[in-house]
Amino acid sequence: MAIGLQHHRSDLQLQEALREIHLMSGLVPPEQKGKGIAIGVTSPHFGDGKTTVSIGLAASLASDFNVDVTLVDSDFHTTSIANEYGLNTDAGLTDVLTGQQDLANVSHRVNAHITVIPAGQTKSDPARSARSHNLVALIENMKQASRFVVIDLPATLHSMNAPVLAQRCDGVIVVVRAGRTSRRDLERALELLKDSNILGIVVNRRRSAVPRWIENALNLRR
Amino acid sequence: MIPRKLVEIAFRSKLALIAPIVLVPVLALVLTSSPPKYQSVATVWVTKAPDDQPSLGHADPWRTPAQNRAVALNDLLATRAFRLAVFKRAGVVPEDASPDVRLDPSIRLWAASTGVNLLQIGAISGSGDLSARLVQAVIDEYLDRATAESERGINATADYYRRQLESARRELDDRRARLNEYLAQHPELTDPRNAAADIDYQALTTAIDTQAGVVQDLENQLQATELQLAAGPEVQTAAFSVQDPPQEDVALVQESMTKRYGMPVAGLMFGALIAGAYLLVRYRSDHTILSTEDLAGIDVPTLGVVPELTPPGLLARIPLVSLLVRLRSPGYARTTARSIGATPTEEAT
Repeated sequence: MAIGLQHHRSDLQLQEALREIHLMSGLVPPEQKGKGIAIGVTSPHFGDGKTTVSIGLAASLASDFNVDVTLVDSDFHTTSIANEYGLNTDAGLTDVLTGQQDLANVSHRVNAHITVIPAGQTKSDPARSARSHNLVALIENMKQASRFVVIDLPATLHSMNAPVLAQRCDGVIVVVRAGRTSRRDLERALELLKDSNILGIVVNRRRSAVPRWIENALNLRR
Repeated sequence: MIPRKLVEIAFRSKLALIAPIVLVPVLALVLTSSPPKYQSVATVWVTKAPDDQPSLGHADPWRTPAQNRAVALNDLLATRAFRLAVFKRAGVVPEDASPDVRLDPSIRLWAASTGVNLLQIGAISGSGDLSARLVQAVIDEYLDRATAESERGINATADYYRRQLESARRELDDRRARLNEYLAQHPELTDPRNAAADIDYQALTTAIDTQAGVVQDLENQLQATELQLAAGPEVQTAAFSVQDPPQEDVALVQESMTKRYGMPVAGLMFGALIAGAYLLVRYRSDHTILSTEDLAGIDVPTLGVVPELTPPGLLARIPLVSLLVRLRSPGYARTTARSIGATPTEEAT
């Protein structure tokens, strides 16, 4: 009972945090279908939590607005979203970009509102894929199908595809991991993303060792 | 305003910060603590020695007898030979110990005048019994040395008088022989009227009387010196009389307040200094983003803060347990993120 309650509390904490993100970034579903919004999620390094935020953001947007959301894994290095949803398929975004598959074939409906497009296992040149006009058209197709397209981008400081892919999005969210990402790395990542529409920064995995009463007494910022 | 990062680092490093604050005072206490010490004191009545001279050391006429003895005793106590003799008497070192044996430096011996004729002799050591034995040993050794020194001086004086007396007696005998020879040459001098008129005879008898007086004086001096020699120990004891003998059930010597509280307080301050320096180094060298405060100055809005999600568990609030649980459940955050808004059926599938 207590464990279930705590799990529920974690769920609520995350949901509230994600709700704050799409509220602060002004993400509201477009009134007309076919005019979806593509949101890229990136971070300076691997393991900062961009995939978790992407998954959560997609789930939160779908739940809060009761709209269709497409979650795209464009991080060709990790390809972890398919595993997360238990999709036993090798086909994905790279196959669509190389023309080996149709978008419909690699789209997986994982629940009532969320469609997942894995990165795919086909060997291809990620740089060429990121710069291809096919990708622009593909994103447009996704925006036609869903109100939100959440794209899990590669880590900015580890893949130069990230800034290119970010430019294809309507907005980019930069995730930093509390206690690991340095300010210098963040500034470098923002510099690389300067040509994109950066919506803002999300501080992920923040934990505090300071008791709440001390936070209140010292009037510390979150 | 206190930076959040500083407070955060302080709480995250609380063990490293508390450790020097606790350990350094404890270490200071351990390093500066000494075993309990006991002091024994004897009070001695001292008077001027015969002829205004103490048996040992210089007698300053402007000082009291007690002060003169205290100076002499402290001079002796400053010598290794005297201390070794005292330690042997007290049983601290064996009787047959070599002269270069190590003498316990923690044992303290002292003498001080507390009045015109009152002298205190004290010892501080690890036990009351030993302190008392040491004080008694100082008194005995001093008396022995004083007596020996006195005897040496008196013996030298007696020898001198003996030699002088022998010489004087020989001279007296010579003068008497010369008188007898003169009388044999002048038989008429048996008549007292003739003798009174003879100038040479008168000169000879006067010389004999004078020499007899010298011999008598020397005999008196020698007799007095021999009397001094015989009475020497008693005279020394009388001039150095123990009034309050050293006690064994003496009180513990209290440590000074400075040593008892000063060192731990200094240790505490030093520990706090180390902790403060450590905190400052950690704070200045940590360039990571810990909170939204660290994003100040970046021209991009902060959208939100996602907390660290820990798998449920009753002990998960304990930091170490929480870390272990997180390590054992690496995908918990993603699973939680995936389950947002999902119906129980969907989540199960």
